[in-house]
Formats: sequence, C-alpha cells, structure tokens
Amino acid sequence: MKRTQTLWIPFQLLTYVLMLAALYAIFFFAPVEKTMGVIQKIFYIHVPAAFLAYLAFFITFMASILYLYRKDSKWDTVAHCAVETGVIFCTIVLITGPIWAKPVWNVWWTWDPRLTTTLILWFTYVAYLMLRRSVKENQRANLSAVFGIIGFINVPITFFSIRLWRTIHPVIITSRGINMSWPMKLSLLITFIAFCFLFFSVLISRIRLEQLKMRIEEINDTMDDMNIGLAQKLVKGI
Amino acid sequence: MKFVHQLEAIIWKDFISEFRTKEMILSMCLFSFLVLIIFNFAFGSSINLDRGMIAGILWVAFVFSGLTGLGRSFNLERDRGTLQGLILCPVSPWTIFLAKLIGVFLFTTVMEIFTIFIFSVLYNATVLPFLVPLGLIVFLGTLGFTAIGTIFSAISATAKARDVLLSILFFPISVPVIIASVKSTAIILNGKSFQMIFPWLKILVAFDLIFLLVSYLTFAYILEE
Amino acid sequence: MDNSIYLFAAFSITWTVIFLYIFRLFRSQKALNSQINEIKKTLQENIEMKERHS
Repeated sequence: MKRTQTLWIPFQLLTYVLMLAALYAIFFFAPVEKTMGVIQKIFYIHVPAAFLAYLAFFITFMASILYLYRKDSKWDTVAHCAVETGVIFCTIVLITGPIWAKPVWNVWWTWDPRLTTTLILWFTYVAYLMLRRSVKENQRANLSAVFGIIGFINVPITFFSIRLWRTIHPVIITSRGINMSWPMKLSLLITFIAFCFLFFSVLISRIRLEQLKMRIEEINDTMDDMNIGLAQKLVKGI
Repeated sequence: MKFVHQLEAIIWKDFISEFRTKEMILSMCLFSFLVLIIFNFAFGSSINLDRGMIAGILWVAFVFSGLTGLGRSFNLERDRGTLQGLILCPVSPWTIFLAKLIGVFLFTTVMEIFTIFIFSVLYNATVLPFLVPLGLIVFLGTLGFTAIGTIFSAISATAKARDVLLSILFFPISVPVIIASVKSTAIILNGKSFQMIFPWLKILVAFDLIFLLVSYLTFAYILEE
Repeated sequence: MDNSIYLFAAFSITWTVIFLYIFRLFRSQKALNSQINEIKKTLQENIEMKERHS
C-alpha cells in the first residue's frame, strides 16, 4: 500500500509531461497531411480514445466476472469506475468523429460499422450507469455485474450485424486509409502512450475516490452505533 | 423429467393467471395494431412503401408491443409479492428463467400472428406464399428479444422506474436482433430467394444461443438478494 | 485555412470533457475530506465528553 502511494504522484506528473509531449508532437512534429490538411490531426485524439474506450469496457467485463466469482466489492468498484472512464473516452470519440467527418466528407454522421458500434457501446454503458442509480443497494453490484457481462458480449455481435448490413448498402466512405509517414506514426505512438497514462490516472483516481467514499460510510455507520451507545451511557449517568 | 414438470408448473401458473383476465394479450395486440396505424401517419401515403421499410415497421410493432408484455413478466410477480415465493421454490433459477421466457414467448407469438394478419391488410403485403421462411425469422428473432427482455425484466423488477429502465437496458443490446430480423424479413417480403437470408439467420441463431448461455450462467445472481 | 476551426473545436471539446470530469472528481474529494474532518471533530468531542464523565 505504501509503495503504491509513493508511486502515485510521480505517475501523475509523468502523465502531465507525456500529454505536453504529445501536444508538441501533434502540432510541431507530425507533418500536415496532404489531402485532408490540418483537420487530420484530430486522428491523434480519436484513435487512442477509441481504443481506450473499448479497453475500459473490457476491464468492466473482466471485473464483473471476477465480482460474480469472488464477491469481493473491490471488483464491483473497479467495474463501475471503468464504465465511467469508458463513457468519458467514448464521448470524446463520438464528438471528435463527426467534427472530423464534416469538413472532410461533408457529412456529420455515417452509419459506418465502427462508428455505429461505438455509439451502441456508449448507450450500453450509459444504461449501465442508469441501472446503478435505479436499483437498490443490496442488489446493485450483482445486477451491474450481469449487465456488464452482457453488454460486452454484445459488442462483437453488434459489430458483425452492422457490418453485414452496410455491405449490402453502398457505403459512402469506404476506408479511412491514411498513408502514414514515420513522423506521423511516432506522433501517434507518443499520443497513444500519453492517453494511456491519462486513462489510468483518471481511472485510478476515480477508484481511490470510490474506496474513500466507502470507508467513510463504514466509519459513519460505526459512529452512529457508537454515539447511540455513548448517548445512552450519558443519559443513564444523569 | 422433474425439470420438465417444474417448468410446466410455472408456465401453467402464468397461463392460468393470464387467461382469467386476458389483459396482457389484449393490450399487446391492440398496441401493435396502433403502432401499425401510427406509422402510416408518420410516413404519409403508404401504398407505395418500400418492402424494406414496411419490414421495419412490422418489427417495430413486434418489439414495442413485446416490451409491454415483457415488462409485466416480472413486474406482476413483484407487485403481488409472489417473486419471493418463486425464489423459495426448490427450483433452479434457470428453470424460472426458462419458464418465464416460454410464457412470454408464447404470448408474444400470439400477438405477432395477429399483427402479421393486420399488417398484410394495412400495408398490402403478400405474406401467404412466404409463410415458412417468415415464420422461421419471426421465431428466431422473437426468441432473441424475449430472451434478453426476460433477463432485463428480472433485473429491472426491483428498480424504481422499471419500465423505462427495461427499455434503456433493452434497446442497445437488441440491436443485432432487430437489424437481422428486419433485413431478412425485407428480403423475404421482396420475394428474393431463401438463400439470401442465411447470413442473417446465422446471426440470429448465434445471438439466441449466446444469450441463452449467458442467462444460464448468470440468472442465479440476478435473483440473489 | 477554414478547417482549422474544426481542429480547434475538437481539441477544445476533448480537453473540456476531460477537465470537467477531473473537476467533478476533485469536488467529490473535497466533500469527502470535509466529512472526514467532521468525523474527527465529533470523535474528539465524544472522547472529551467521555473523559469528563468518567
């Protein structure tokens, strides 16, 4: 416990530095793309955010299974916090995607399999958060875990069904092929690593917050009992 | 054998309580009828509607009406306080799930038969020559969405805003079923060959099997207190 | 370059979303910290009361 505590501040500092490095790489190191122009640089946010969103929901999936198996509330906390972080990154994907698409392909939205699956993913995990708010506390962890499992399993099936649907209709945008020179690849790598650090910073902060909240609740409950005992003692003493 | 008897007992219980009032089946049929009519107003003159579009309308009617039936599947149990009794029975959770699923599936199928009839009239769709492939698609699709609907009905049974929560949980997960069912129905109604719907049928079968398996593994946790 | 406005919009929205979330976490942390302080205070008062009465 102590060791992870002392590593935490350097970790966050490293995140900050890496994000600055990424910004530098995006704007001054990576060349401007020939056909799309400056707008292509959104790609450096869009791709890592998408990967991390899916990673977050995979973490939820594994944590949900571990929770049902071990019944340790730590896993429920991890699952729940990963969903929150995942929704944040998924929102970023779904906003940067259309902002990129509009000037380049003149449409805000395409029913592209990847973008559509990501939209459904977003809805699924917002539904997870709604579920947590609606059910009673004693069942919350169990039900969330089941939904976390179902939600993730649904992703590949959804992707394939949408892809099958789109191959029958002519697709406006066929591929996002971008010829990447090595400075671009390096910039992508730097940004990707920076976002990974950011992701885990946010996730771990959220988990620690949640654990702190749970411990305070525990203390409050014990306090109430203690106070009652204490108050009774005081009353008897009068 | 005991498993089948237990299953029968629960299904029979649901059937009897429904036949006393016939409330659910009547409202499901009326609702799907209403949905079909409303879509006519939504899309203007309906005579020349694309087959693909009316396949979509049909399935929207199925799903929305089916949801009202699904909502009641566990809600009634909770309201009448019989859910505890059901859990206390020496019956495996999956038996309860299957029994509920079969009950809802049968009611929904009755509603769908009625809906297809109305649909063929209102939208001038020729259905009779395609009855077998259509029946297969409807069977697989209905099984899919009633299976996940039953799981989520159990999950949202104890929640405050249960019907809304059921819908919110249901729709993202049911996307593959809806896409596959609508597309294959459109193909069939257009008179294309049966072979063309094979990929969609594969998706439907995969979906059904996967979610039946998931319910088998997790339903016990849903019923735990 | 007209497209730059889109680039700016994308980056600023991304940063805003992330910072809003971090800010929310920060506010929760402050609320929890003040709860901890209250608990400490109550505990201290109780211990003093107990000492006075024993």
